[in-house]
Amino acid sequence: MLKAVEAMKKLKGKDGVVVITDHAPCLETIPPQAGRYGYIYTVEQTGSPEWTITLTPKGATS
Amino acid sequence: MSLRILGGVNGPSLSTFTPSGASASATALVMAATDATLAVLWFLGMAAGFTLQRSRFCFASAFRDLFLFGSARIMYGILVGLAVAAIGFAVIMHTAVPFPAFGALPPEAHILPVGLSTVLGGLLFGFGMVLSGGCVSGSLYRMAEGYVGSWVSVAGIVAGLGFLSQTWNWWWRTVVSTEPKIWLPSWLNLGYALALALTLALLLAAYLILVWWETRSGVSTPEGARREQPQDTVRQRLLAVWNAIFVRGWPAVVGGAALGGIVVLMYMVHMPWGVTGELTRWANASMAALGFAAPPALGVADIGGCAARAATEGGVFSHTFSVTVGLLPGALVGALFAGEFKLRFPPKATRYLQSLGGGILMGYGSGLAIGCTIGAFFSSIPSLSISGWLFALALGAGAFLGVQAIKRIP
Repeated sequence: MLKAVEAMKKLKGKDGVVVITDHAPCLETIPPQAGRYGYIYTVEQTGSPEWTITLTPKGATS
Repeated sequence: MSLRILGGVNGPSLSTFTPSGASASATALVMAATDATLAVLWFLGMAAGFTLQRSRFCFASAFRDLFLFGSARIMYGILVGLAVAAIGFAVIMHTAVPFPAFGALPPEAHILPVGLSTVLGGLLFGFGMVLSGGCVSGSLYRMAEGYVGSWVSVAGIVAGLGFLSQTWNWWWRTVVSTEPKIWLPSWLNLGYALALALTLALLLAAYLILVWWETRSGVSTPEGARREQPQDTVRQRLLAVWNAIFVRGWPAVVGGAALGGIVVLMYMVHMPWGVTGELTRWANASMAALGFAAPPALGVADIGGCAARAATEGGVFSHTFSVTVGLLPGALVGALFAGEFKLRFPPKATRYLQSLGGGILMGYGSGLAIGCTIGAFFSSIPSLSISGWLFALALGAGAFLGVQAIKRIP
């Protein structure tokens, strides 16, 4: 969680972040932080228990 | 940039649910044969564990995320739970003690001494829970989800409670015996109506402060989404409902309200929820087995809460056993349904030390404050006791210091 937030802080919207986690609380804590640092998020369940959270900078067109 | 925040191996899946559910129910049957209350409390303990797991309800992160992320998500849930429980507790206490002005305190309510022990206990506990990554109830339900670090935390908590038992009589003589218990309904002759109104007003004030805090921190509505399944057929719609209950996490507010209801039911059956009492019994039994039996604790019969129960409950299957150990099968069932059970080992060896150290601090702190985030906070504020509020403030301060510490740990 902390790592993902630090990555967003450091990149300041220049680059996307992909978080792969097996810790369910990340799904609740990371999205609100994404808004704070100018990112848009998507969550996809990629395993059991595993989720991929993709954080894209708001300005990016991808 | 890609981050992998993973640890451990995949564990059993839903197929293990049947044996674990069946053995949990069998335990309840054994209990029911001796004491029906035990079995009822066991099921309520399971319900609490299930709710904690489903809503990822964690008191440690509720306090920690305020300072770490500026987010009050779980704290809102706690406030809702406290409001529900306060109303329920007021009704129960009113039945037991109709006239609070006469000076009698309602039996079993968590009205604890207020003073230095509350503040010190809260600071130690708040710091310890952030360091170890979960409070007592949080570590218990994560044990059942397969977090190995939480097993270490719980061992630390038991050790901390053991240390406290050795030194309790000193604390009692020098500090705790001089501290008053302040119960709002009898304080300034407030009565139940005003005491409840004051409690709810304080909860509302806390809510407004949290809204301001989140706004100030820049936490906004997140943009984005989870990939949703289509809902075109009846089967898909029913599946979506199933997923909302058993697979996806519940909103914290739903979890909080459910927990508030559960503690009221527990109090109706016998006593408010507390998990430190049972762990104190384990700590004292372990110390005795190692040849360091703690001296009989002074004053606990007058104090109430978790401390009194640790001293008076006997046998393996006690009421405290039901509402503490019952969490584990409840959380395990929740984790198995959601496919979230997995043995997870901390990524670094230093995390074990963090869990153990945090656990010891939490154990000592909860012994001193006579309860953890459950007994001295979540069951104490609804008991209309001042101690719960003071403990909450101290927890917040301890959590703030804990956040400063974990930011410095690589």
